[in-house]
Amino acid sequence: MVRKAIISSLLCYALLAQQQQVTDPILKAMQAEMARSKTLQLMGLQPYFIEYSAEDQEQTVVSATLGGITNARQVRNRMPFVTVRVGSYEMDQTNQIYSNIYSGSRYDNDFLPLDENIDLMRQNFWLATDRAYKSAVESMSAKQQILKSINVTEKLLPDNQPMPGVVKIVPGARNKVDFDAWKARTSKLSAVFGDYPQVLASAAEFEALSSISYHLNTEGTMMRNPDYLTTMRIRAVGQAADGSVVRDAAAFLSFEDTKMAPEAAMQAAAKQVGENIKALVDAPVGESYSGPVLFEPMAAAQLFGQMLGDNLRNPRRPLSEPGRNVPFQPSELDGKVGSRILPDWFDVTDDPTLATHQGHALMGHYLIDTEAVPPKAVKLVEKGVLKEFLRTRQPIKGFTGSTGHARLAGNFGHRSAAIANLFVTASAQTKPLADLKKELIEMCKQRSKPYGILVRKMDYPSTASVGELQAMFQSMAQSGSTTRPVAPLTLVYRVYTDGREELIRNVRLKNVSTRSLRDILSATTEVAMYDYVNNNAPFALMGIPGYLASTTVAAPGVLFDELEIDRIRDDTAKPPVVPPPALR
Amino acid sequence: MYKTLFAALFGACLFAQPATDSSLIPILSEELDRNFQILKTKGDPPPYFLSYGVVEENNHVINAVLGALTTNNKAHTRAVDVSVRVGSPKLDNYRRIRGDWPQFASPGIIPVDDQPGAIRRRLWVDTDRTYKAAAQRYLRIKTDEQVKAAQDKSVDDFSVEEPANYNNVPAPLQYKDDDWALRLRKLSFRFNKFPGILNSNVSMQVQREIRTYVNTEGTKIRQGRNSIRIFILARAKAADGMDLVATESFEAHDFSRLAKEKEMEEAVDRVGRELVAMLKAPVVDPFVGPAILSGRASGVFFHEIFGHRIEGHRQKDDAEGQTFTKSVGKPVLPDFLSVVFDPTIDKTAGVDLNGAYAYDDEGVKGRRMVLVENGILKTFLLSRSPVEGFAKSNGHGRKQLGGEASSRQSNLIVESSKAVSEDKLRDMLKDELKRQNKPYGLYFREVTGGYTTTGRRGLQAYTVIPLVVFRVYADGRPDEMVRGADIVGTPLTSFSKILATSDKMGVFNGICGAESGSVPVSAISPSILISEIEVQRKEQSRDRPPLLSAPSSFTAGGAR
Repeated sequence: MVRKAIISSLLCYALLAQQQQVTDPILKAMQAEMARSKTLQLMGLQPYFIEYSAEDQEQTVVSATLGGITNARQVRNRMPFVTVRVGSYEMDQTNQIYSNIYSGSRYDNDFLPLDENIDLMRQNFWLATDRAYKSAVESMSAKQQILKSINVTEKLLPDNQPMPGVVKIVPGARNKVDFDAWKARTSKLSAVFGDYPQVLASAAEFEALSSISYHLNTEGTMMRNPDYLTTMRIRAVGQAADGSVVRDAAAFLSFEDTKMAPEAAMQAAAKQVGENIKALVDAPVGESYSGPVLFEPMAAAQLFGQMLGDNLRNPRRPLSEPGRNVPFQPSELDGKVGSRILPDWFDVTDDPTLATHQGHALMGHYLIDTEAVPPKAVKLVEKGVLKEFLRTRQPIKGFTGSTGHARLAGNFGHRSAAIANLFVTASAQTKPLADLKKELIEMCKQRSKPYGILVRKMDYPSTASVGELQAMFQSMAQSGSTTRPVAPLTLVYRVYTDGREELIRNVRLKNVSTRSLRDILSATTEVAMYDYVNNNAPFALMGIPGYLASTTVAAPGVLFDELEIDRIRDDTAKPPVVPPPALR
Repeated sequence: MYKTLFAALFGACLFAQPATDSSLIPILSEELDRNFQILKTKGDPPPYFLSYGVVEENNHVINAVLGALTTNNKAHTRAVDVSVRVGSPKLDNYRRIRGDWPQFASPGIIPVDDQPGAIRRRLWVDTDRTYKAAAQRYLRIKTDEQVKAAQDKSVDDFSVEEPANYNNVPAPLQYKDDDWALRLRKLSFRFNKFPGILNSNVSMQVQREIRTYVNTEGTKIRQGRNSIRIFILARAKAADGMDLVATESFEAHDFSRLAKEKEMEEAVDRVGRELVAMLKAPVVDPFVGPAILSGRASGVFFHEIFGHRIEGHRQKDDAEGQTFTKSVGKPVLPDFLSVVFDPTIDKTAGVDLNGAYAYDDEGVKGRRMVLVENGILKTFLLSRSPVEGFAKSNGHGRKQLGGEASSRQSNLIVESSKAVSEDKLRDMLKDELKRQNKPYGLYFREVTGGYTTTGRRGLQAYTVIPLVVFRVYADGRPDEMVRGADIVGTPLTSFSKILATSDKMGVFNGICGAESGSVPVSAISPSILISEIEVQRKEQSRDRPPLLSAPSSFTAGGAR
C-alpha cells in the first residue's frame, strides 16, 4: 500500500511537471535538485518524501517613538526551506523527541542568491538536502533505539499522510511598499504620545512583508504564490503611583499596505491608547472576585482566539525513552471529541477559504498552508459538541487527512496547526450588549454583589517583553491557579448595580480554561471581528519573528456565570525619582 | 508567512548618513545634569557619578557567493548605555564580590534623528532604572561581611580623572554600492574553479560608528570611526569528515587605503588553492617540538596568552588566576622582548589597525603603554577601576554597547631586540630540530583566533586555532601542509620557550570578546621561534562529505 503510494506520487510528479512549463528560476532549481535527491541512499534508507519551499521576500520595517525614527529598513532576501523524510508514510523519523537531530556540519547558506542564478540555487538546495537527509537518517536511527526501549501497547499511528499534489502558479510580483510614506506616517503616529505625559514608553511599529512563496514536493505539488502581510502596532506603557506597570496597544492588519486602515483611524486608535494609559494610571487597584463576568465582543474574540486557537489543534505526544521528561503540552481538548465544550447553542467553524465576511477583509484567508495543502472549512464545534481538530499532515487519532491548517512551526518533525478565520456563533440566548450588561447587573443584585466585572480588552496578542512574560508566568504559577496561563486583561471595569462603570487595574483571570467556556450564559447580538497576528510565542507575543499566521476571530460578547478574577500582588518598582522631562 | 529576525548588521539604511554636526551632546548633557542634580538631592543613597554613552552605527553588508549576491543590506541604529555610580570612588556599586560581574547597562534604543523629546524620555527612564539597580547593589555591598572585612585595605572602585573634551568625526565614506556589488560578484566567482569547495563567500562590511559620551565630571566626547572589511572565506570537508576552512581579510579605515582589486583576486585564489591543498594534506600527528609562528599567528598567541592576563581588573579579582598580579618589576618574558599597547597609532606596516581610538569608553584618553620592557612587567592595562599600586586609568577601559567597561587590549605590539631575518629564523628552526633530534618542526602561517581561560578554578590554558600549518623538515625536504592542528598549552611555560624573532612585523586585525563585550583589537608581532610547542589533533566532525555529486554545472562540490 505504502509502496504503491510512493510510486503513484512519483508518477504524478512527473506528469504534473510535464504539464507545467516552468520558467521561474527558483522552481527550476528546486525541480532539478529534487529529481536528483530522490536517489539518496544511506543505511538502506531512502527519502520517500521531499519538500522544498522558499520565500522570496522584502521586509519593510519602520519603528518610531515620540516622532523620532528608531529603526527603518528594507531587507531583501530569499530563504530556502528543505524537508526530507526517510522510511515511509507509516514510519518515518518524526514524532519522536530526536526528530531533528544532526551532528554533522552545515554547508548550505541561509539565503539563496538574489541574482537569478539557477546553478547557485541548485548548489544550495543540494547541500541543504544532503544535510536534511543525513539528519533524517540519524533521527531514524535514534527513533529505532527508542522503539527498542519502550513497550508499545497499541498500534502506532502512521507518521505522515499522503496528500494530493497541487499545481498552482499564481502570477504577480511582490508589491512595492511606499517606504517614505510609511516612515512619515509611522513617525507621525508615534508623535501622538507627545500629548500623554503619563506614557513612560511608547512606539509605533510598521511592518510589511511582501513575499513570493514557492513550494515543490514529491507528491507533485508545485506552487508559486504571492503572499503579503502588513501590520501597524501601536503600544504604550505607563506606571501607576504604586509602581505597577499598565499597558495598552492597538494593531492594524491588512495584506497589501495599500489596504491599510486610513491614517485618521490609526491616529484615533493611538489617541485612544494614550487615553487608556492615562485612565489606567489613575485607576484603582481591583480586588479578587468570583462571580459573573461579561466579555464585550472584542475581548471575547481575544479570549476565544487564545483558548480555542491554542486547543483546537491536537499535536501528538512524541515517542521518547521511558522516564524522560518530554517538552510537550497536549491540547486541553484532547480526548474531548464528541463531548460538549460550549453551550449547545454555540457553533465554531474555521474557514480559511473565505476572503471577506460582511464587508470585513478576513486576515485568515490563504490559498495553501505551509505544507502546500489547500485549506478546508472545518466545523469544529456543532451545538456545543467538539467534532474535529484542525490538522496538518501529522496523523492524529480518529482523523485522516490534513485540513490545510499547517500555519506555524511545530515540534518533532511536524508543523503546527493554527486557526485562520474562526467563527464563533451563538444561535440562541443572544441579546444586545446593553441588555447583557443589564443581565450582569441583575445577577449581581440576586447574588448580593456590589458590582459585576466587565472586560473590554485583553492583552492578546500580548505587548509584554519576553522578560515580563516570564515574570508573569511565574507569578501566575505562584498564585495557585490550576490552569494554564491566560493572556492579561487590559481594560477591566467594575459595573455597579446602578450601571456605573469603573476602570480597575492589577487584576487577571484565574483558573480559567476551556472548561470555563461551558459556563457561558448568554451572548451578544453584536459580533466583533478581531484581526491579529498569531505565532508560536505564548500569548502570540507581538513582533516575534518566525512563522506568522494572520488571523480573524469573529465572536459575540459573552456573559459567564462565574469566573475568578485575581488581584495581582507582584512587587513593583517605585515610580521614577526624577520628574519626567519635557515631551517636546 | 515567514519573518526573519535581523541582527542590526543586516538591516537596510534609509538615512543616507548621520549628520556630522549633531545636537546630541547638548540633549545628553542637559538630561544628564537634570537627572544628576535631582538624584543627588532626592536619591537615597545619592549617586556621585553619571554617564551616558551613545553608540550610533551605520552598517552596510554585501555578501556574494560564487558570482551572485545573497545579501545587500544597510542598517542605521542608535542606542544609549547609562552608567550610575552610588557611594564613593572608594566603594561603590561596581565593587566585585566573589568574582561576580556587576551589570547595569541595558542599551536603550533612541531615534537616529536628534529628536529631543524622544531621546530625553529614554534617558530619563533608563537613568531611573539604572540608578535603582545601582542603589540596590550598593546597599547590598555595604552590608556584605566580606567587603566590610576587606574595606580598609582594598583598592578604590573608581579612579579620579581629568574631564576631557573631544570632537572628531571623520567624513562619511564615499563609495558606490553597485560598483562594490559587481566587484564582490567577480571576486566570489573565482572560487568556481576550485573543486571540492563546498561553501565560499566574499563579503564586505562598511561600518561607520560614532560614539558620544558625556559624564557628570564634565567630559564630552564625540568620536567617529570608519571601517571597511573585506572577508574571504571558503570551507570544505575532507573525505574523512574533517571540516576545513581558509580565510583572508582586508581592513582599512578609508577606501584609498584598502587593498587593490588585484591583491584581492590573488587572495581569493590563494584561499581556494590552499583549501584544495588542505583537502589532500595529511592529518597532523600529536606533536611536541619546535615551531615558528608567523607574525600574525604570534600576534594572536600574545593576545591570548599574555594580553588577557595583564588586564587590570583580573588582578583584583580573587576568582582569577592572577598569573602576573605579583610580577610587576619582575621578568615575565625573555629579556629580548617588549610588549606595548598603543591605541594612538592607526596604521603600521601599511595596514590600518582595528585597535585604534582617541578616547576609551570611559572618556579617558588612550595612551601608549609599555607593559613589558626587556622582559620586565611594568604595569597593567587599566580602566578607571584602579589596581593596587596603579590609581589611574591608562585609557584602556573599553566595552561594547550594553557592556560595562573593563580594561581591554588595544593595539598589541611585540618588539624584539633579538630580531633576525625570516630566512635566518628558519635556519634557526632547523638547527633546533637537529639539537632536539626531531625530523620536522611546524610553521604556523595563518590562525583564525583563539581563546584562553584565566579563571582560578579552570585550567590556566589557551587554545589558538591554526588555519594554515606546514611541516618544516630538518633534512631540507620541501614544506608539507598538514591539517587539523590545534595549539594547546599553558601560558608561563610557553613564554619561556621563545628563542628568537624575525624582523618582519605581521598584523592581525580582529574582534576580541570578553566580559565587557566585543571590541576591535589588533596584534602586531614579528615571527617567533619557539623551542617547544604542543599540538593536538582538533576534534573532528565525522559526517561524510555530500552523498551526491555537485549539480553538474559546477566543478566545485562533492567528494565522489
